[in-house]
Amino acid sequence: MKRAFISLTALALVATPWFGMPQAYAAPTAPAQLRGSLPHGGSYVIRADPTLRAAAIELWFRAPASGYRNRTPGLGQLAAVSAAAAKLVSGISLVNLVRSVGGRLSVNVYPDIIGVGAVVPSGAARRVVAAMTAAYFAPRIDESALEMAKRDAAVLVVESHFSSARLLHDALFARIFAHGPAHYPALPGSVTSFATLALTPVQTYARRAFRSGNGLLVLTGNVSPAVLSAVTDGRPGRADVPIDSPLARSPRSGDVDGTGTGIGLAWVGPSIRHQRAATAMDFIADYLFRDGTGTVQRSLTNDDVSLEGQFITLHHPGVMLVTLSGPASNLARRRISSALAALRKPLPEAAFEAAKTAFVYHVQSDTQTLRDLADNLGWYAVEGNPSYAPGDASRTYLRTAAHLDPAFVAGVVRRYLSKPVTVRIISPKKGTAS
Amino acid sequence: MKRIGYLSSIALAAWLAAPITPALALPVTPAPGVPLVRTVAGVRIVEQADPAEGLVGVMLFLRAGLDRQPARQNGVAALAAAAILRTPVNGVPLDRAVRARGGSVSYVVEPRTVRFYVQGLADRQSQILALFESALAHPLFNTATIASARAILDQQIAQAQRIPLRVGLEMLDRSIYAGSNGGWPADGTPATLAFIGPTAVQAFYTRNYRSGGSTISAVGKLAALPSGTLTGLARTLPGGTPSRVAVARTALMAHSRQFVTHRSIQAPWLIARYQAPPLGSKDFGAMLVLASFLQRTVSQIAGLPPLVSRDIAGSTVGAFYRFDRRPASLVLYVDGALGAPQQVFSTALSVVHVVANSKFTGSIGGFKRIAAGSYAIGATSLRRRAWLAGIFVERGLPADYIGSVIAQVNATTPADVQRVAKRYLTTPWLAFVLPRPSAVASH
Repeated sequence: MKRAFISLTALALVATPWFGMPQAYAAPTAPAQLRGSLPHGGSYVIRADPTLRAAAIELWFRAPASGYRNRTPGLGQLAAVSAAAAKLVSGISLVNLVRSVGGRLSVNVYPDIIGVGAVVPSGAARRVVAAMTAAYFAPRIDESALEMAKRDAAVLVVESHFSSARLLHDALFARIFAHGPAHYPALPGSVTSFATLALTPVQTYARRAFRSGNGLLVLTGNVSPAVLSAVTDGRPGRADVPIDSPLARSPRSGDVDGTGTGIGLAWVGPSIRHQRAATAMDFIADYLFRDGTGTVQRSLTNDDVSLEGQFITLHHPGVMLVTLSGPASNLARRRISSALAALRKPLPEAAFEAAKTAFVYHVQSDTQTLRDLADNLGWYAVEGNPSYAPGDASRTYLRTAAHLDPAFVAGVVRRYLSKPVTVRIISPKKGTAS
Repeated sequence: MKRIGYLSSIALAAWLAAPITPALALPVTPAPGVPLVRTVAGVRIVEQADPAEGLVGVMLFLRAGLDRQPARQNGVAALAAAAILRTPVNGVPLDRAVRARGGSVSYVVEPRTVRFYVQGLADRQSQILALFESALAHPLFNTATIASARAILDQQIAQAQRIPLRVGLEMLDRSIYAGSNGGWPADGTPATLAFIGPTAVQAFYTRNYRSGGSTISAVGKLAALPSGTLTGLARTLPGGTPSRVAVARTALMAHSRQFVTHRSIQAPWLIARYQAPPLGSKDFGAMLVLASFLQRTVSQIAGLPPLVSRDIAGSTVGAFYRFDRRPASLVLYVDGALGAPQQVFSTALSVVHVVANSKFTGSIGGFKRIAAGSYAIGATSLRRRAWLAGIFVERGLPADYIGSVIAQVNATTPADVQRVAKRYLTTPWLAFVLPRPSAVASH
């Protein structure tokens, strides 16, 4: 599935015929989904739901987070946030426009892709489409906007120091991938490394990464194709190809400095093109690790450990990633090993069917809100397989899930989920700089 | 709250001093998703069809909340609901049986109601609801089921004690409902749960799980449900209406009070609770606008940068309007991990005081747009849509829970906001959740 980082907040939330289903699933009516080209370069996908009073508007780009030479961690983050914070020709920035209509704006930077999204009341969709495409297709980043982005990034950097999951994720990717964007963290480990970054490289990066030809506009919710006429910026051009990162020949397990107790496990998996195997990896993650229902997760209810596990679907290859934090991490790791060993043999048919039905429900539940749906449509498109997105109207993903069988899943476990690359958090000794 | 615009530092000045400008009318777009309401066997049924969804969510509101718990049975409402989820259907506990059929079932216990939420794949939902109906109509309140439910509640209580905001709100709730049981902790306490057995749970169920006064709110691909599915659910419960409960409340405006407790947390949390108008009040729209203003202002007081990347702001400072509660309230909170929580908190309280006591003539168009927009974008998940439609209909309000609210916000004038601020934002009740000295020492 699409990657999801942990949310810090404690406050606080599709269809064409289903061909060849082995069970008696109905064939729901297909909702309206349109794909096409934007007037001035780039592409779009629209998935309308007129019963809502809100719309999600997202732009996705293939862009390396650490720059095109992978030498500037944080460059993608700074450029993406600066573009949103810069004043447009209208005199108002995208950040402030979205805020002024009661909407929510988010910028999510991953090693190889960048997604910018807003959820707004439907009456404001046209204005936000115009502003978002102007902000990125014709960026007007100045010193003031860059300063805002640096302050924003500084908070993220500090926050990441308290996230063992983030720390383990970055350490594992650095070991699995020899070089390329996935080898480097999307954000640097300290504020000082980007505090002195000058305006020019940020502007240069933004002009290249955020050109309209490299962009995908995703619209979901109460929105009509008529809003596309609000896109007045950009110029035709080709999109970059998906950015892969070469694998390390023999990645080694090891330690990483941090606070607390934590263990990260990673297995290299299938690429996004291998739909059946990738879906099987999602099924396994759901069956074992899903919060509240995963078998390993539930076995640890009374233990002091936090477990997150998911298959991250990437162009090539994907990664099964599990992070454990807390005193009972070692116990959890043993439970995972045992569970995976058991899955090397096919599950009993009845248990498998129940788990698969639950998985199909979870997929639909996870793509249920307009933002979740837009995120998935965007992520899978820029990773190189648009119609495979969970929630896509073709229902390719759900059909693939429906055709999984116990023997195939066991085969995927044997092929991909044997020996993981492991990283352990160790606390630096007193007096030692980390 | 999620984002802070970097121009928001001028918000207070704009609020108090900006010249009057005509407020822009917010568009009230007619949407085909307006709920339909009918009554079957004394049960209100609200339906919101959304053909674009692949799921159906059904929420059942029952008058079996905290205020109906007998003395010395703190937790029996949660125990009854949890035991229903653990009731075997076809030999498997309900929650597992629902999961295996492509759905989920959960509940929330509130001061006056218990809400069950059943969500599932549209073409499986009628089967899933049949399982739920079975457990709801014939719950198994034996020693084993109650023990299983109690164990789950004990875990939930332990987890909740790690969330300072929840701890603080529970302290305040307990004091607001000083004369009744409506403010007891939603899940009870391990000590009280230990003494509640099957007989007490059965008695609570028999007394309160009645169709009268209940509401069913369904949303999603309703066309996939066989006709009569929701009617069948409405007829599941025995007839009759639970007897009325006298709820004594302490008058919030009378005087300010402070509550302090300690938990194993890293930094203090400071929480203020103001009285607020309930849903359906003529002051509701104005309080939404005020809440929107305070939500933004308290973040800018904290000096947070204009975050657009993550949800950090919402987890550290903010304000929210608990309009569904009776009594309703406006809550401000500050996480001490910010660095200078006392300063942020006291400044925020001062701002509230100024808003309540200064005459202002500024435009409120901007805050009205923010209030209406925030409300609209908060109603997109099936669960939230079912909840909002349910509480509106339960209170006898228009089922169009978005259109009617936007209309109220549109109609709000600066004078309304001033009047509402003066009436409600007077003397806050405060809760301080502080780290245990040992926790501070070890960190």
